[in-house]
Amino acid sequence: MARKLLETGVDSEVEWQADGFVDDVVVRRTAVADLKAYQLKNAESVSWTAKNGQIASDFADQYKLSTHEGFKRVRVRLVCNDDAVREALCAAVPETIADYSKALYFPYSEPYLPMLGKFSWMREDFAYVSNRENAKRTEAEQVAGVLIGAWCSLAPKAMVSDVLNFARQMSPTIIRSLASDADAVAQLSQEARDVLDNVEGLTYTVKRGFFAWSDATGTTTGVLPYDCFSTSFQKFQRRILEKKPRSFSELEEML
Amino acid sequence: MRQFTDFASDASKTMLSVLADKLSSESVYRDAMYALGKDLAARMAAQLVPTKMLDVCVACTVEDADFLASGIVAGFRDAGLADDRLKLACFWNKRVKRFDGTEDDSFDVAPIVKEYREPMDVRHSVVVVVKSIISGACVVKTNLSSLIDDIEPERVFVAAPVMYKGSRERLASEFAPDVANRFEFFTFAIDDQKSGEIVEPGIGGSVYSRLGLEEKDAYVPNIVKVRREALTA
Repeated sequence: MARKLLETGVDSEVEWQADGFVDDVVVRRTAVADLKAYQLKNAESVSWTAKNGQIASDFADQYKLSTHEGFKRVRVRLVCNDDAVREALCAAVPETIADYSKALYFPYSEPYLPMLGKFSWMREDFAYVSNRENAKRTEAEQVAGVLIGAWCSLAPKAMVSDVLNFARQMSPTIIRSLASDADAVAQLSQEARDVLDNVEGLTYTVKRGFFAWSDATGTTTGVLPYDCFSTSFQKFQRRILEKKPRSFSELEEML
Repeated sequence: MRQFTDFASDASKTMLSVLADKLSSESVYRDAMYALGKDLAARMAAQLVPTKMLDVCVACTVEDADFLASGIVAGFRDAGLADDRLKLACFWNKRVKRFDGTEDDSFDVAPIVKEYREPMDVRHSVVVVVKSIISGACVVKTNLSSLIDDIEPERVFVAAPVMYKGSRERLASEFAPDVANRFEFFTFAIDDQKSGEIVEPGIGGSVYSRLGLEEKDAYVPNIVKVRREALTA
């Protein structure tokens, strides 16, 4: 959802243990009258019809409730942590709820970090949210830890944008900016750019809202621990203009 | 209580006492770290197979680079390792456990804000991860993960003059078994007491202040400057 927000600008409200019939996790996109409700099952055997059809009945009731609340697109999902179980559930969705119901697979692990090693799609989603281009597994794991920490601080209900903004309130910041690269680049003044462009041995870019740099050998690299929209970045630029470094070694202590 | 390992000699025990002594001056403390580095390197070098021509990649944090890690590099040279087989990676980490303005720890990460990394072939190397003290293992885990990034090195030496009890198991648990099974630990002492976050007697408190490196973010280790210049010469 963080990735979707960054890619499309579409924000969502997430709630866990919401009030409802399918309530483990509910995702609302009120602006487009869209709701998804998830029931999570770690059990080895899961059935739509067990216990007098409890799950199917809950799904139908959730659909009625959410439609009555004004949501135009309502999707209800049964999530299990076994792909074979998911496949069986997909093949047996009761017709009465088939229009809006589906079974999904999502892995479960305690602790959760090994899943980033096992599932590349999960690692890539967290890497996308990192302030580093080409973020490695370590960086993806750190993003996961920080995002989950932010969610737990704001739970049981929060907008994805609020979770991201909360997660960015740390030093160093490791979550990418919500703003565009063009907006971030615009924070670098022409005067500062003129000095930096003449520092022998320095290459730099502004990506994901952050100033990333490298020396000429490519052995020394880094990303400033604050984004381009921060007062710290303005302070960094003032130091550049004050000291006017001409070589990488003169600049290095400021990085 | 402190337990000395089989690696600990009288000389290394003396150096550990120098670290633990709060009255040791900055220069005496630095010299002790360097000496402990050389001693650790001698122990590690003894474990290398002379006929197997592997590179040795020393990975350290910025505060350890000019003292402990420099001692380790010197120690490997003394043991006969050629300069072109010795590589260095130095990381500037920032340990963070909570969001700004909050009072409780919500996570535990040690992001790398900058790094110096020489060209190296991790797959055909002995990776030597060095730290003055290993306690929670968060920084070591981060830097080692960044260095190997799903590549399995030939061997991994984890070296620290002092380790806190359980740190070996904590570090190993952060890696897949295929990698963790390659870890070989080199330490002189294992301590089992803490005062808050600080291991006691450990290395005599915060390594930054003992080494006189309060501004470690801006600090560029001499070993990095010298080696980087040699790369471009």
